[in-house]
Amino acid sequence: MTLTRPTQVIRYERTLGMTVMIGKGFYAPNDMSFAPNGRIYVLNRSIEARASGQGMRVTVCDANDEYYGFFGAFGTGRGEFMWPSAIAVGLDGKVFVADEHLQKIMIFSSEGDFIDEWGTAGSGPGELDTPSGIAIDGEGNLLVSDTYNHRIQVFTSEGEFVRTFGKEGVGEGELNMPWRLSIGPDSNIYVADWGNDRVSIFTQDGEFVDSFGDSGTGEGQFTKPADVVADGNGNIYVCDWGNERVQVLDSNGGFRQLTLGESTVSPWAQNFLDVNVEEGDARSRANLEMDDIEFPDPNDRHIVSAHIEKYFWAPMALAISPDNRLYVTESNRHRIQIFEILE
Amino acid sequence: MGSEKRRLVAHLMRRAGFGATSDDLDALDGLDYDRIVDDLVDPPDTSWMGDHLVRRFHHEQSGMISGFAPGEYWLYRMVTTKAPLIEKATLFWHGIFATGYPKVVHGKVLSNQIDMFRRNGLGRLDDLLVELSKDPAMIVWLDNEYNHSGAINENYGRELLELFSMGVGNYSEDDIKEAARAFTGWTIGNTEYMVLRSDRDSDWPYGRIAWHFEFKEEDHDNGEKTFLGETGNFNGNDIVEIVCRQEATARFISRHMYSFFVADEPPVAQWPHVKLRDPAAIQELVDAYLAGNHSIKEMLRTLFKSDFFKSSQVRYKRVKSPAELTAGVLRLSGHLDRPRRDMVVHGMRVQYMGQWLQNPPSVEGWHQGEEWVETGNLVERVNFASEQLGDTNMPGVASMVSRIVDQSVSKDELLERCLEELGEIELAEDTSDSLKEALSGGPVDRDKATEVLRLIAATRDFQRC
Repeated sequence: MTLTRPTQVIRYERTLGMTVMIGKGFYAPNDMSFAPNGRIYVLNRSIEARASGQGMRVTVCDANDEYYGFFGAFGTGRGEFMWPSAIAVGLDGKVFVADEHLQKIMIFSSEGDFIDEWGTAGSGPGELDTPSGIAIDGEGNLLVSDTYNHRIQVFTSEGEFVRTFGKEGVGEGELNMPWRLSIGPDSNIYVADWGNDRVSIFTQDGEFVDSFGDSGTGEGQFTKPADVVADGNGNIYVCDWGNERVQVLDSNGGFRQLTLGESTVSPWAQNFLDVNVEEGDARSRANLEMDDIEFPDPNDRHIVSAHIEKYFWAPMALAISPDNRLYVTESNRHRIQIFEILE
Repeated sequence: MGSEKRRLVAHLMRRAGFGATSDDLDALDGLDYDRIVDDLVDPPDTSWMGDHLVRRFHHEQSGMISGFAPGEYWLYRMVTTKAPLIEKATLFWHGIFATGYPKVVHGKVLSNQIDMFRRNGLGRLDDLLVELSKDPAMIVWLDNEYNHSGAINENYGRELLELFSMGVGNYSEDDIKEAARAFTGWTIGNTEYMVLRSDRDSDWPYGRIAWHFEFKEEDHDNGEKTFLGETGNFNGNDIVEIVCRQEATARFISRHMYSFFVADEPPVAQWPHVKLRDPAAIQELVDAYLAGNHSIKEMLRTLFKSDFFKSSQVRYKRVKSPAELTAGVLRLSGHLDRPRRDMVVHGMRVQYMGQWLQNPPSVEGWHQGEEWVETGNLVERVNFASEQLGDTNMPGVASMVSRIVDQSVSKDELLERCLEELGEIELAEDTSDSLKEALSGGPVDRDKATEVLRLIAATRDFQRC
């Protein structure tokens, strides 16, 4: 890995969303996907439902803060969620949702009508043990991070097994509990190799290409990365989940930039604060960016992010929009921070 | 049945931890008892399943937005830790410094308080009480954000003396007021906004924001105070230091410790009226406290190595709390070999048994001992233990059953072998006779072994430790 001088590749622009279980907002969102119709589908894990399962759903909105509604519900039946883990929208507008507890992939129409589901628990070819990331290739096939089987599996959209690659290990092309994955503009497959603290790149056929990163908190190092995406400018964006940050690498893995997040108040959140005057006023008198808090361990980024609202807290998914913005979905802050890609 | 030493170590592991599996006991066979105690109070390995693994799958236990997540997260630590005394001592302090969700309405700060107990629970009492006094959850739980110079709120000062250190009868009302003055200005950052959000259960607009301690010098009464016969410009640290020097504090903590780790004592409110079960044991702990510079670790080292702890007279004299029972059963069943959504169910079972962690019934905490056992929650306790330990899909149960069956155990030996596998459990004679009678028919096979494990889990003796 070559370390290069930090460069500003991305610049914070604004924030989308706020915390709600019902209506206009997100609740523990853990993944999102852009659709051909311009809409954004945000998957909400919500709290681990004990009765009602409120908030466990897909929120549909767009980049201009329009809210179109939601679909999906908690349950064990067909088309229902327990641990919804990943979402991807195909070129035909169909919405695919993975559930890592129920070991299945569900298919919905762009309007949220349930179409079908498939998936069998196990470790054999075509069987799943905790599907935690999905991506769709140019042929409409689904690539699935099969976490506890430490591999990537490829299926047709109807669930027919195509091929698999990767196995448990630390060597080249080996994986340890992969989380999310994406397909780059070079058609390669980018995998967040969570347990190995690195990102690995494969060809469409599953041939190992390269891997970047090692364990740590320094530039170009990762702690349990959750997601990785690449853009057309040769930038690779890594959701450095365990370090509560996003890093930008060049196409050779060289460090370019990192951000801890710098969220401002979204239009939906501002509306809430305007309506709830007492809470809005109290907030305006608070200092939410205190830099003199004494933490038991100031290097524990999870605790620091718990206290400083603008920072990423449990960033779990990345996506690049058609208008060249980087979207960072944060579970614990129930929002999406949007960054302009400068170069 | 294993040797007396093995049974003693099993007793130690039930009290200092959440019980030991047969494999755990095998691993300890080569060590002498005192070395095992030393490793418990100074653990060489504090690893557990780990934050990253838990948070990856339990997003709720990452943001702690609800009142359920902190307890479920803690249960993972109890079940998977290699340093069980740290979690046990943390549970001990949570029972005394009971702080609850309904008023704090913030899972993350409650969980942070538990982390603080984890860091300080085996250290000096002085340090623990200073950290407790600065703990944001405790500040809000006992209203210290409303304790102002010139307008004191006595709540924290009162409970510090009454429930957290000395016990009634050892201080005056004036001491309470003076203590309260010393803690003026000890509050949380952004008090107005954070308390308002707490009052409204507001997680808007971006989830919970964790709280931090803040000392507001302009709101602190720096005047002269007289506290427990000493006079000075005391602040909160000074109050804690004076409190920790009192023999009454040593006795109060010692009685709590005896009750939690040795044999049930009545609830604190009855202490002035009920004699000590074992005054000599309490004195031994008091001496350890004073000789060890108020070190909790040294008190526990003394306790676990004492004759009064090792005595067969105190074994099975404590009723397991719901958290202890649940964690112990899950360690045996091996169900939590990875993060599982079933943790939600396990967490709820603890509540149904009467102990919602981080949601005690009052500032007094839970009334423990026999009061854990009521008709409704006894059924829950028995059902949970027997369901888990009678389920061969659980890796720990499958392993126990295989070992029993593979050894071609005879009918007469079956009960003893099952008791050994469950961590050298000892049954009362009448219980043992009843089980033998009930199990007299049929061959010794996997089903029979599983049935025995399930029945043992349903006995009166299994509910105790």
